[in-house]
This record gives sequence, structure tokens and C-alpha cells, in this order.
Amino acid sequence: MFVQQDRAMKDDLSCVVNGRARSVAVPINRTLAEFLRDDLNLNGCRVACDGAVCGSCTVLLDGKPVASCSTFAFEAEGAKIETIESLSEGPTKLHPIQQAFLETNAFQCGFCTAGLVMSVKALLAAHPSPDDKTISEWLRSSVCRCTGYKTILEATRLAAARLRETA
Amino acid sequence: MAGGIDLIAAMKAGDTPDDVIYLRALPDWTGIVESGDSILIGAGVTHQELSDSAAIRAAHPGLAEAWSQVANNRIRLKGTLAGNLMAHNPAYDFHIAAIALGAEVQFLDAHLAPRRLPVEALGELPDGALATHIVLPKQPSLAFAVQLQWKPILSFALSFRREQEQVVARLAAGCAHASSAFSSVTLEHGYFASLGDATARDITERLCAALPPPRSDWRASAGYRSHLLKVLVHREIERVRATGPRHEG
Repeated sequence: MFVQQDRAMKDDLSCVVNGRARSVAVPINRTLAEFLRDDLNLNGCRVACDGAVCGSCTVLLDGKPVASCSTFAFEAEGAKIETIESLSEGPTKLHPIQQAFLETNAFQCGFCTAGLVMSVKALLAAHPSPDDKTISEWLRSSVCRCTGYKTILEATRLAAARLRETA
Repeated sequence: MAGGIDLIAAMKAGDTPDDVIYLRALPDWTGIVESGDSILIGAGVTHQELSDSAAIRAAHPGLAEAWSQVANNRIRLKGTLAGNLMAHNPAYDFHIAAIALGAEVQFLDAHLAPRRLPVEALGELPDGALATHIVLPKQPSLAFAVQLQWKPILSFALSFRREQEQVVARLAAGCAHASSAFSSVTLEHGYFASLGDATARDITERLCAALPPPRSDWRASAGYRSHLLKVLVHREIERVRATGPRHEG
């Protein structure tokens, strides 16, 4: 992605990705999205706008949502990274947020969904019982061109209720 | 770099900096502390930290509220206020709020000597300067408003502040201009306290007339921007009039 990336120096990056300790030599100008997708093959992180605007590439860095397209990989040194691949338990048991998105048809093309799910995970960790205003304000940070957000709002409400039941 | 969002965007556009220094590792880089009549905001403070700060909520609740909504949550959590200022991008938001509130930038010059500049004079920052703090007055404003909903056609921040026994209206305009524009009007004694329809229009005219002409581009002509700015500034002053002047906080 970067011009002259092959000329960049490399630096050792140590972090925990989806619960697994990683230590990888990465070019210092590598973005977190490139690190996840190209070095670790975690392709659930999708780059769309490539400018920290749309939210498709959202992953959690120490529990906070970050635009991985606009974060250097080296900023994750010592951090805990969570991507969409960390959520489901095996191939069949979805995380309650994923399940809620599925049941409410809160996606169509799906390109933004991984980022939205991770963003909702961060929201519900901070606000287990968010009201609609809080959800709407939070979701305003992500762009979905298919669904019109109503179903995403419903999915977030449903996921919040289920996570509260199991807490 | 601290937040690094602009740097990554520049590198994607082809910039190849020789060195990148990661400033987040510096001590005292973050944090918001009260110091005498001022609030010192570390250059590494993010938009979200500003919005969440108890000191900011107490002294400048309008700023804290507005900043809980700027940009998106990822930028609020990562982007820094100093980075927003130092980008010199009129489409960015913090400089207009900072100018309206009478903020200064504290920086180290090339000889590592600490210096300060009002935010409206940021264009005079010497080469090699490193912003270390943003200095906000602790004194609350009588009124404060930020208008960001008309971006990218225009954005502005407006305040009424008491300065040396007088009330000063400060208007900072953002993306309507090629670089941030600033005007202020010192109001006659009692003018603000008896704010009426005619005085609201008069203050609007005086503030807007003192600004340089806006730019024309494919989004809007200078004339349209100029007229819209007057309408929206007047609307904010009318809002102050309707709710009554107040000491924020």
C-alpha cells in the first residue's frame, strides 16, 4: 500500500492477537490492517475507505475500536488485538452479537459487518444497557450502504439483551 | 506523530518521511491539568479525553458536549487535539473552538525554549516547533457554540467572553476559508446584558464584516458562504438571546 514499502526498516512487534501471543518482524510503515490481513491472514478486517472514515476495518486495540487502516502496526506493541475471527466458538457457535446480526438481517453485502460487530462489541462492553440514542450515536461512526441502519440498531438491542442475560 | 492519522494519510498519498518519532512515549504528553487561571491540555490528549475531562466539563461544558460528537468514535479515541491543530487544515474542527475560547498553543522552539502563541496566530509558528500543550482559559464563557453541521461548506465557533470587565464576541470560521479566519468585537458596556433583536443583528454584522472573504469552490460560492455564515451566526446569537446569557458551568 505504501510507496517504497520494501525499503522500510523492520521492527519486532509483540502483541496478543485474538488471545494468541505473536512476535513478528514488520516494516515500520505497515498499517495494522496490512499486518492483520497480509501477515496473519486475518481477512475479516476489511479495508474500504482507507481513511479512518467508514469503519469497515474496525478492530479492537485493548478493547477500544480503532481504524486499522489508519493505525501503524507498531502502535500495537504490547497490546491486545481482537478481530472478528476471535468471536465465534468454532465454526457453528456464533457470538451473541453475530447471532443477533444474523437473526435481524442486519447485513446485506456484508462488507461493513465485521467492523460493525467489533464496534458494537466495544459499545456493549462500555454500556451493557445502551439506550437508542447511545446506540445511534455510536453507530453513526460506521457506514453501511445496504441496510439503512434500522436492523443494525435492532441487532444491537437484541445482542445487548442477550449479553445481559448471560452476564 | 501521536495519533498518526494524518501521517498515514500523507504516506498513502506518496509522502516518504525520513524519520517518524512516536511521541506517545513521551512523559507528560497526555493529561489535562488545571494551573492557575488556565487548563493545560497535553499535546497527546485525544478528542475523547477532552470530552470526558471533568475539568473541561466544569469550565467549558459546551466544548465537552460538542467534542463528544466530532468525527467518528475511532478518530475521537485516537486523534489528538494538537495533531488536529498542527495539521493547519481548515476543514478540521478543534482550531475554531480553540480560537473562540481564546486558547493558546504552548510549544518548544528549535532551541527547546518554551513559547506560546494564540491559536489564531498558529501560522506564525516557527519551523521546527513542537507543540507541547494547548492552554485554555479556565474562566467559563458567557456563551459558546460550535457549528459543524454545514461542513464542508462552512464551520464556525462563536463565544461571548468576559475579558477585563468587557464582553468580547469571538468568531472563528473554519472550512469556508482557505485557512482559519478570526474576528472579535468588544461590546459596549451593557450591550450583551440587554441583547435584543437589533443588537443581535448588529453583532452578527460586525463579526462577519471583520472576516476575510470566504473562498469559492465547486461546493459553494464566496457569496453563498458569506450569506450563510451571517444567517447561522445570527441564529446562534438569537439562541443565546432566547435562553439568556449564561456563565457556562
